[in-house]
Formats: sequence, structure tokens, C-alpha cells
Amino acid sequence: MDRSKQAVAQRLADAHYAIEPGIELIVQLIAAPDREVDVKEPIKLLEVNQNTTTDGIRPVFFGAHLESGIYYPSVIVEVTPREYERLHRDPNSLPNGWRLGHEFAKAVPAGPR
Amino acid sequence: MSASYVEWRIAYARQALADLHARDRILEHSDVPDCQQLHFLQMACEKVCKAYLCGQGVDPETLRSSHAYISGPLPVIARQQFAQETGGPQSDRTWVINSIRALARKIELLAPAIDAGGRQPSNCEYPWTGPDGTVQVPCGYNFGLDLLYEKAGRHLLKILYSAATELTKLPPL
Repeated sequence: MDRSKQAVAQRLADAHYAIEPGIELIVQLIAAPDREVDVKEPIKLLEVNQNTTTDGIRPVFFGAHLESGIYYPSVIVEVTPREYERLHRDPNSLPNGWRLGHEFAKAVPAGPR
Repeated sequence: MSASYVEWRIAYARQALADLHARDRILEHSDVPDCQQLHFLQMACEKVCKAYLCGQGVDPETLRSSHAYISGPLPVIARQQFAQETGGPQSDRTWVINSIRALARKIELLAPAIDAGGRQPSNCEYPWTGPDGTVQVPCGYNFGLDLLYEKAGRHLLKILYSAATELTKLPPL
């Protein structure tokens, strides 16, 4: 199993897309480069979810879970599609110097052949 | 002079926030058993719900002696937050509320005093006797509750932070 931060982030994003149909997009949040290389720096996912409340940026923290292949702590930020539009226009409104990073694509279910 | 319901509401909410922050600190250490962060999660849920109930005019004295105040109020708090949403198309959140209700019951059962009539003695604090007669210990037990992977799990945590923060505020004069 790939233990890189990027691979773990992808696994988390895939799992969250699979369990929550309301998630439209998942974007990685990136800290300053010197922080991001630290193994203690959490994976940070911004989840655009039509089923969440409009509460602004409220990061929630999760620990690493080695048994399930989550080798790093993680921070999840859920926002509504409207909040994401605003964030996209003003990325500086993200806290902790975070910036928007890689967008994780939603897997397209295989159709009938 | 006795403290007002508002004072109790704010006090419960402040302590709930402290419990949530303690949970965050615990999660920074992957060698700490799961029961510890779940214990703080259970306590935070209970205090957010008690803060909410004090704000609704429930006598704080009646709330002090029980831990069974999560599965009822928590889905109501979540529904209220959705109801406050304005503008934009509203999607059907029934499944979110139902998922939060199920999670709230699981969290409520983490308290040692709540055991579903003896059917679920597992809890985050004290050892108990398992179905095979052996003594089970919280620090070695898999509670099967990981909000990172549960439906609406992340949302439940967001609601807890949001509600606790809101409930610490003084009402407008």
C-alpha cells in the first residue's frame, strides 16, 4: 500500500465520495512547503458538500489510523457549494496560510456495456 | 442567588468546547487508545446537548444526574442548523439527520451509565464483562466508531463545534 501523503489523501477522498452522495468536489488544502513536508502536518481536505451547513471554515481534526492505511492525521473542512464559490474568488480567506491544491475527481460509476 | 439558565447554557457550552479541543490534542498522538478520544467526544456531545436544553428552558438541576441526553437533542440541533439555512436550493437532508441520529445513539452508549438495559455494557471508561464472561478493557476494545468513515461523521463534528461556539454567546440585549 502506497504510504505517501498524496496516496493517502486520494484514498480518503475516494472513501468520502463513496459514503456521502452530497459531496460534489474534494480539494486538497496545502500549507506552506516547510510545513507540508513534516509528517505531523495533517492531510487537509476541503469537501464541497450540498448537505452541510453554511458555517464558514470549520476544520475538524482526525487522527492517523494505521490499521486502515491512514498514516497521517487529517483535517476535513466541509463547505457548501456557495461557500466554495466565494472561497474560489477569495482564496486568501482560508486560515493558517492554506491554499487550494489538487482537485480529487469523483469516480464515475461504470455503466452497462 | 442561583445562576440563570443562560449562565448554565454558556458554562456547558464552554466546557464542551474544551472537551472538543482536548479530543483534538489526543488525536495528535496515534499511540493513545481510541477510547480516550471517544470519551472526550461523548462528553462534548453530552455538554452541547445540555447547553442547548438549558437554552430551551430546561432546569439545569434535572440535567446534572444523567448522561442520556445525546440521542434526543443532537438530531434536533442538526435539523435546526439546516432550518436556519437561507437562500439557494435546499436538498433533502433526511438521510443526514437519520445518520446523525444513529451516530448520536452510538455515542450516547459510550458512557458507562448507558448500557441499553444491560445489552451493551461496552463503554470508554471502565472494564466490563463480555458475552463470553471475560473481562473487557476499553483501551483494548474496538468500538467500531470512526467518524472519518461514518456517514455524516464529519458533519456531526462540525455541528458540535458550531453549536458549542454559538451556545457560548450571550443573548442580544
